[in-house]
Formats: sequence, C-alpha cells, structure tokens
Amino acid sequence: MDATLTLVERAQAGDRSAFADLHAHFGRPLFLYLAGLLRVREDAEDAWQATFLSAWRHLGRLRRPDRFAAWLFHIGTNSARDVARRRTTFPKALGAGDDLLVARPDAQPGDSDAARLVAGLEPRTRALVLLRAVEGWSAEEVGAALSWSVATVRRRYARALDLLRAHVNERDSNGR
Amino acid sequence: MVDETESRVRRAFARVVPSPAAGADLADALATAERAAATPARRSLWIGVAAAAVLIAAVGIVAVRREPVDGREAKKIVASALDGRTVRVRIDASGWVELDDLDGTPRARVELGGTPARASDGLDALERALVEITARVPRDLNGLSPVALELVPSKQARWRWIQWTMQAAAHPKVLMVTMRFGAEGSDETPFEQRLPVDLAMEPTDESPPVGVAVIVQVSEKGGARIRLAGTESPWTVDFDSSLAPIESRPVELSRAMSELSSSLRTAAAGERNGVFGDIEVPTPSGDGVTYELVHEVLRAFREAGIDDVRFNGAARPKPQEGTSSR
Repeated sequence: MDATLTLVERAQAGDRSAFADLHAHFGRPLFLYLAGLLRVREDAEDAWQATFLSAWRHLGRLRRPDRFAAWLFHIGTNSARDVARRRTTFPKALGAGDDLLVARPDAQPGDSDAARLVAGLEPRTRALVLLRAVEGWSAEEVGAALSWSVATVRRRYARALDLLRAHVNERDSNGR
Repeated sequence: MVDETESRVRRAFARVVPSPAAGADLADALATAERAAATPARRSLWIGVAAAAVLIAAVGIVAVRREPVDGREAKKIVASALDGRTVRVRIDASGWVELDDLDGTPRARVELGGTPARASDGLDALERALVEITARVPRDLNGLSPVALELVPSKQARWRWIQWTMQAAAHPKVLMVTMRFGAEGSDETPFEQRLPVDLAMEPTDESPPVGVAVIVQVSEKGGARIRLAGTESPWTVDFDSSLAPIESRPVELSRAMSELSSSLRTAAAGERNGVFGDIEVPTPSGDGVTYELVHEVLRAFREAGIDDVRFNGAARPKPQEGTSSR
C-alpha cells in the first residue's frame, strides 16, 4: 500500500505522529508551490500555515485518502487566494529579501538569470517549475498534487524549460 | 536526466524553505487548534499536550531553533490565516460546479450544465450546501450573511451557470450579497460586487442613480454581440467570427472593450445623481454567452469608474416533474 495513503489513514484515525509525518513529507513542496503562486515570503508562509491548520482540522472530512496531495494543494490554492486578496504590497515593490523568487546573493550569474526568468513565468507555471526542478518531484507526483494529467504536467514543464533555455542561451551568447 | 537549465533553477532556489519562525508559529497554532478541539469533548489535557509536543517536534524539521511564541500570537495566526468568510466556487466549461467550504476544503460537486432537470437538482444541492455553510457564521444585523461568494469559473463556462449560482446565493435562507468575480488560471484580484438587496428604503429628496445597460447576446451568425443600450448614439460590437477563446483574438477584444469603456464613461459623465451599471444577457439569445465576455464587460464598467454593477436574472432550470424537493 502507498506509504502516504497509510499515513493519511492513520492520521484520520487520530494518530498525530502520522500527521506530523505528512507535514514533514509535504511541507517543503507545498511551500515551493505557494512561493511560486505568491512570491512574497510573508504571504507564502501565511498561506502555508493556514493550509496545514485547515488540513489538520478537517482531515476527517477527506473522503478520498488516496487523493490527499490533491486535497492539500487544493486547500493551499484557496489559502493563497485569500492571502493574495488581502495583501497590499505588490511583488514588484518588494525588497530583495522579501521576494522568494530572487536568487540568493551568492548565486552564480547564470543562476540569477534563471531565477529572474522563472519569476517572469505565469504563477501556476512557476509553481510547476519549482516542484519539478527544485523539489525533484516526478510528473506523476506533480500531477497528483495539482490535479493535472501527467501529460499536461510534462507538456507544460517542457514548454517552460524550452522558454528558459532559449533565454539563457540568448544571454549566454550575448555575453560572449 | 537533469540539464543545465534545471540545475540553475535548482541552485537558485535551493534555500526557498519556510523560515524557522513560520514553522514555530505553525506548531503553536496547531497546538492551539488541538487544545480548542479537545476542550469541548472533555478530553484529558495531557492528550492535547502530547499531541502538541508531537506536532512541534515534527515542525521542528524547519524550526530547529524556535523562539517561544505566546498563545495570543498563535491565535492571531489562526484568525488571520483563515479568514473564514469566503466560499469559493469553480465552474468548468461543461457546467460542473465545485463548492469549497469556509476553510477551503472541497464541499460539494454539482452539475448545472446538463439537462434542465439535472441542472435543477444541481441548483437545489448547491442551495442546500450554501444554507448549511452560511448558517455557521453569525449574520449581520440586517440579516445578511457576511460570507462572500468568490466565483472562479472557467472562461468558457456559460454565464447562465454563474447566474444560477448567484441565485442560489440570494436564496432567502442564504442571503449572501458579496460576490467576487475571478477567473480560472488568473492571478488578477477578483472584482467585488454587492448584489442589490431589498431593505427598507428611507425617503430622500435625491433622485435615484441612473442605470446604464450593456446587453450581451449571441448574434444571429453564432458569434457574440455586445451592445450599449439606451444612449443617443448606440455602441455595438460583433464578434461574428466565433465564440473562440479570447486569447485567439486579443487585439480585437481589447480594442472593443476600450471603446466600450470610453462610451460608458461618456454616458455617465452628465449624470449628477450617479450611475449604476446593468449587464443584461437576455434569453434565449444569451444562453450561449460565456463568462469571459461578461467578465470583460464588468471590467469595462470598472475602468469607466462605474463600480456598482447589477445583473439581470435568469430563469431557473425546470425540475423534472415529481422529483424536485422545492
């Protein structure tokens, strides 16, 4: 039986340590997803907290434990919408320290370029790229979480990578 | 195989993780939620404490050096992170409606796009779900629900389904009046509108605001027609080519909406008592109108400075004889 399904069923039966394991497994991917949608650290953290709080409170209502990832990311999407609606700061006005989609200060120039290009993608595509490239999730895992078909995940990711490659190659050749 | 572009992305964002403080706050908020849930059931205090310890230990993965956070802070996080005042509805292009509960979890899935009988049953189920959800939130002093309905339809969803959903929200036992119009796949802030409410009117010497109506319908050739009604120089635009997605004709639509917005601004300019907008999608010519067209007209109103926009109703789908609960 799938390890996640076992954890979800145990958590639904009242096993708190199983929920802790689910948090450990999905915490970083969910945060990357929210970072892709919201960009701003404070916003992504608020949505991240709200998502796990909601999941913790309402796990008993989940009818399809085998679709836990989709359920969790669905709550995450709604939390992101709530946070985005109430925020007053537009991401463009942020300082570098607040923007999750800026490469770290000691990054190589090529990595900084890649970060800028990812930041310029449409939010859901950004989230997809972060889950695949940074978290290393498979197309199947991303598809299960975002309720997309595996073919859709592969197609969108390939298109995003092509776009990034084209820009990177153009910059590399201009820099020579 | 990982290529160089993927490696660059991975290195650039390798440190995108929740901060230790966020992990610590989540642990405290979870512990607070756990204690709150345990109290009414008269569970032993140690269970809550033990559960909190487990959760805090788990969150410690990202909160290695957590600073103590007091209970008030945790409560603030719970309250601020979950606004608990929004019900979200997604409507896909074939008329399936997914309703989320106040906490963002999926609540109901009904069909409005099928036969009239199935649409009627779907609408009944939608109303029942909204009655149950809004009953959990104290009403405003005027009896209205403070819960907002956020619509996130596919652009290709029929406007008729959105109208029926708004009818369900306006049901006497629901009385949700705050509507937010978003769009699937868009990160644009949804347009917020309040549905008109029949509350006691106070007499006033002032004349009421004037309505400016925009009519959206399907043209004789099968395309879409948007018409500004009731002005001396009527403004009309036809999209007779097809009802294809807007992305395939962005320049045409963008120009037309800019013209409409300008015409609306002109129509509103001379009215001293204010202007409200009215979007009419008449039957039967409006049955095929998509959400994206109405959404664009709504945007044109707002760009013209007309924030109060109303919508005409749509006939309720007919129930199958003898099967309706209504």
